[in-house]
Amino acid sequence: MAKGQYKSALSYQLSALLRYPGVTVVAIGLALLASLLQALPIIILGQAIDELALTNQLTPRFMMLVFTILGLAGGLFATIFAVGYAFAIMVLRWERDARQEFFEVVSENSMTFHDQVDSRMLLAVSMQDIRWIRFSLNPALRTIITTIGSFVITVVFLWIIDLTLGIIAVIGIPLYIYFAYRYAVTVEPVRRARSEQNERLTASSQEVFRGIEVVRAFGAEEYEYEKFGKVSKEYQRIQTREGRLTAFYRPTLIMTAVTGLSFLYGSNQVLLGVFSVGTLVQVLGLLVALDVAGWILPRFLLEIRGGYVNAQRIVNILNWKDPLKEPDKPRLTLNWAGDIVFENVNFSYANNNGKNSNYVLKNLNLRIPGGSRVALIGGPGGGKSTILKLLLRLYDPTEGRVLIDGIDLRNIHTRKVRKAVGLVEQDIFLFRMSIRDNIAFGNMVASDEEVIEAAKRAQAHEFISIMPDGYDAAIGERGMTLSGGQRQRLAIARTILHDPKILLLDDSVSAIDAQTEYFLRKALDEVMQDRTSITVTQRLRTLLESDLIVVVDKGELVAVGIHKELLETSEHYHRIFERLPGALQYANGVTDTGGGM
Amino acid sequence: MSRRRSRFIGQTEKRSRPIYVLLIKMLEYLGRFKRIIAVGAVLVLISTIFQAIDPLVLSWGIDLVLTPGSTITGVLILGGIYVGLRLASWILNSINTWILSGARAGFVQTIQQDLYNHLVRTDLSYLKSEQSGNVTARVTSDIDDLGTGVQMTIDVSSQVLLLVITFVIMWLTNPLIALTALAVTPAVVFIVVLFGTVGQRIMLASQHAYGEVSGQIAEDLSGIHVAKAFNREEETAAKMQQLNQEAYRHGFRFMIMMTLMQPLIRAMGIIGIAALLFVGGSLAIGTAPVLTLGEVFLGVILVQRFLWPLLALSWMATQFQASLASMDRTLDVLDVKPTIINSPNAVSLKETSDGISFENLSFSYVEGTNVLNNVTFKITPGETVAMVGHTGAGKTTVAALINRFYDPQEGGILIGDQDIKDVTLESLHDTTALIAQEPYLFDANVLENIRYGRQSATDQEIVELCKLIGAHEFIEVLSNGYDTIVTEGGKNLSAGQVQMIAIARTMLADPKILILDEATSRLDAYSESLVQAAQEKLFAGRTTVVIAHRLTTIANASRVFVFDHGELIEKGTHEELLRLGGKYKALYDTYYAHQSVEELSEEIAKIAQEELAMVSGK
Ligand SMILES: Nc1ncnc2c1ncn2[C@@H]1O[C@H](COP(=O)(O)OP(=O)(O)OP(=O)(O)O)[C@@H](O)[C@H]1O
Ligand SMILES: Nc1ncnc2c1ncn2[C@@H]1O[C@H](COP(=O)(O)OP(=O)(O)O)[C@@H](O)[C@H]1O
Ligand SMILES: [Mg+2]
Ligand SMILES: [Mg+2]
Repeated sequence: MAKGQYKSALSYQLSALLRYPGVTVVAIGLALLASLLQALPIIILGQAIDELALTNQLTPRFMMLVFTILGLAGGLFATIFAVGYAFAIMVLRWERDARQEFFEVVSENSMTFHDQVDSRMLLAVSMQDIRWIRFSLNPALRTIITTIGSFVITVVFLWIIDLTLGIIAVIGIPLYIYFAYRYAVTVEPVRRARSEQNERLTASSQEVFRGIEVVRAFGAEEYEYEKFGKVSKEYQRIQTREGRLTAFYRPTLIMTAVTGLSFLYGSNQVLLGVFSVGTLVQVLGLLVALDVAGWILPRFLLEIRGGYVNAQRIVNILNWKDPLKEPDKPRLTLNWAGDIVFENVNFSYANNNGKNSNYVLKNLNLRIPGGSRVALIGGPGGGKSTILKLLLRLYDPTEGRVLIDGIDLRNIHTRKVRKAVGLVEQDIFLFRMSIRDNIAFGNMVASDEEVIEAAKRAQAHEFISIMPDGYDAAIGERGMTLSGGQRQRLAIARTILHDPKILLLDDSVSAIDAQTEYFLRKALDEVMQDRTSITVTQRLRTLLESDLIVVVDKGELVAVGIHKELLETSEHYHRIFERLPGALQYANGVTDTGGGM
Repeated sequence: MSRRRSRFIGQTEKRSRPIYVLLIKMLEYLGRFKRIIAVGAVLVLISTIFQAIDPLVLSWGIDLVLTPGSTITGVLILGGIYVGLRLASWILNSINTWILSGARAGFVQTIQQDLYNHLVRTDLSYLKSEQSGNVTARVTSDIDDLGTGVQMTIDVSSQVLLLVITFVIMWLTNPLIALTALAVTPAVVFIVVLFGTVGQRIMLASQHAYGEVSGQIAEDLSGIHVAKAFNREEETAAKMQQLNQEAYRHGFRFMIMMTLMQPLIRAMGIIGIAALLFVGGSLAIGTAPVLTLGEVFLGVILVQRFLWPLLALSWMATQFQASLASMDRTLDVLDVKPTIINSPNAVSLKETSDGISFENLSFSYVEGTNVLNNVTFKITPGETVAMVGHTGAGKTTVAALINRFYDPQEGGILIGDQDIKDVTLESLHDTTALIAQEPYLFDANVLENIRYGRQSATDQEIVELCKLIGAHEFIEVLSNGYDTIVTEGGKNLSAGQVQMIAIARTMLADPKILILDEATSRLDAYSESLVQAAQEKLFAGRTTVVIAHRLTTIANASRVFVFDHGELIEKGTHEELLRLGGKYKALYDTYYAHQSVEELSEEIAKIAQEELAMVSGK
């Protein structure tokens, strides 16, 4: 389904029914028929009682009426079941598809979206909100249709029986429904507040359990109890408020008045000899039967309004406008070994309220010759990872352009970019799948041999083979069962198998020891023959072996060049360099040789 | 592969406790609201009686108008009574709802807070074995289910009351009528049995399937950046489709069962009318009728009334089961007694206690595989010790033990001459502070995150500290400076920034004993040197344990401890150990020396590897 197709929350809420207009119309027709079938036995009951009152014996007509009622029971069963079945199928299919659609839209949305929207909220919406909407249609809407049908049919029967009764009903019942609706509307803000508070509750307990060691280490348990107490007390307040909404439900009084008045009027008519006793039974029977309906109506009206609130939340998310647009006329071919150019690039992440925050890359101009090995260094938050993410087109620059082989990346479809560019991220994320599936994540059709080959190159084969299940070993939540170095090697294998034309390594060997790294580097050199690679690194040797070193600081480019040049020209680089492990020995070595020449 | 997926909604393994235990526990909690509940119960009783009586008034009216010679006055009086009863029961009911809503929410909050407090104190070994989503579900969705269960208990009791009173009224009117009304019970029994057996199973399967969907969504959302980087959105969606379809299949079966119930009950209601009409009619005719026509009408109304509570009961039974299961899981959690608590005669850690000693300490996370083996060492007060070793050697575990996140199975840990088991956890945590290997920040602003280390710190102090360790520079340029909110553990910060903030937090705590677990692994060399300088300045002369990943850190330590497969195999200064030519030498050559520039040729690498293999005995 296309994005942004839902104009309003209402059409979203009703889309389960709007999808099958034919079925819906028939189902609603049957629901109304069910209301009629429900009222008819009471009418017949009145006739039967008249028969009794008149003849004082069980006449064949009386028996026939009894059997008619039995027959109606059968009819009612069939009709209600048919309605229920139709609704069940419609809403459950909708629920399935709506959840799928929501998931797809959300995962298609660019990272800007995911930066702004809390993933726990997304999970809650995709599970709970969608379920509540389903609930608002079935049973809520379905039952309300039957209930309103009962109200209407009662009015009609009363009108047929007597004009005055008709008038009492015509005034009373719509009034009743109106007040019931008014009541249901008041629940809306409460329901919204409850959902939000529930999310807050989930979020605040989840973060504490994720960071439980920190809580312990600082002995902050009391502090956390108090904090949680505040959130859960607020939740308690909202829940109380929601519960209390059903108290003093005024429409009940209207129903009481209508029944009371009809009782007085009907009895008087019997006394006057206008009504038979059977008619009085019909009148009272019909009105008393509405009692149950009166009990159900407000609860389900509430669900419908509540579902509307949920629909609003979802539609807001579904209609989110993505700033990262796919090109209208995408470039199909491109020389990925061409130069990479950053041209006046300014970039800022959108922050929570959707507004752009300050720039994290400022006026960046940089040319990276195709096929070169580039090292990227700089302080925390300097913008290194951001530069790599731009190359992957996870974001587009706020201003300026990123060009490869002279082509603006905006003109290339994201799928194409991500096919050609491979990133090993800084904080490795592995999925709860087998090791094999994790490695083959970027190339699912890879054969076992290819997977093993990639693992060998990434120096991961060895530790995988000594695991009990080898390549089939399962990886726990967020890859927690593996050591840092093991995770990094799996991520590298994953990227190698992806076979990128441009390789981006974001401090990806920090937890790997020298020896392993040495073999890894050799293997990567083979893979990256004539391809561009950019490495964020803290390691001296990587700097020395690079064709180009790029130094960034607080979003600005401070120096570009090779090691020797930078050492002389860049104060900044010098400062970083001298603190690198082994730098001093190296520097001494250099002066030594320098002196010898 | 989705077998161990977390289940956010309705974990519904078999219940382990009998129902009465669960009910008693529930009542125990409700007991805290005794007075409110007593008032509520009285109100329910009265309003239910009123509710049950009002059709009686109507039937009297019918009989009245059939009696020759009646006047409108009688009708007016009955009408008045009817309205009065309805009004009274409306008011009582409303007051009741008002009161009980508060009680219910209060109950939920109380048990929630209890559970939360308990979980926060629960042993890490338990928390770590559960996924964080599961633990959270304990305090959120399970507790919500419990709340529903309480609501159900209240509703069920008033429905049962209504049922009983209705039956009594019918019996008083005419026992035959009451017995006829029982004719509808087979259907209800059928429904109850259906729901208790097949229904239960279908419901469990359906909840399970939904749990799978929810777990998958949770994981896919947290790995969304990877899916994007590898163009895997479509495959992910396809997998989701499968799980969704499965959930649909189960959900459909469940819903069809629910769908079957309603028409069944409704039809039974109509059959009830026919049956009553026939039986009542037979009794109301002849020369000496046992029943008046008004009573026949009453019977018809009451048989309807009879049906609804039964229906509600059978429906609630399912919900009730779910909340019993929640109560069960809640008790499971509450029953896990934390073992790491203050011992009865725990004392504060003395001002003079300093230095760390491990005495013949052995520890395992899972029984049978020792992670630390007979470790003994003594770190004198004010000393800085570096711990090194391959990943998995047990370094982080040492740090966790000093913080008493776990208790060792054998041996003990002393600070000064006090066993940490005999001191209060509060004083222990005041004295020691840890910068963990995996930094974790809370969803609060940067300032609050740092202040977590010491609540009493002023803004000024925090800024000063940040300046000292070189964090001020980047915090200042964040979108809202120190007020920038950290989202979802730090996804809006760079990895190095997160680590810097975590360092600031711990340094602010100003502990007597400092433990750094690869604390600067995500920092560049320059920032690292700033942090190190700050540490030297602020923590000079204090006991410090550094778990090192870089050579520079080791060089600054007075002694080096080498861990291998859970054993402390070498101790000494850097030079001593190099001279020793053992494990440390091998580690140094391959693990640390690379950080300098000496070319690591293939031969050297091979030799080092063999050396390593020899030392580690593989
Ligand atoms: N998703 C995001 N939303 C908002 N701001 C972000 C996001 N990711 C990074 N930033 C901010 O952008 C700036 C640059 O971050 P980036 O991750 O590129 O730094 P880095 O150079 O990789 O640092 P490090 O060496 O610590 O990894 C930082 O100020 C950071 O707080
Ligand atoms: N919470 C845990 N549960 C079970 N095993 C663990 C846990 N944490 C660590 N381990 C295991 O204990 C051993 C030592 O780990 P650790 O102390 O983290 O080593 P290091 O810090 O030296 O890399 C490893 O084999 C690791 O897999
Ligand atoms: Mg980074
Ligand atoms: Mg560790």
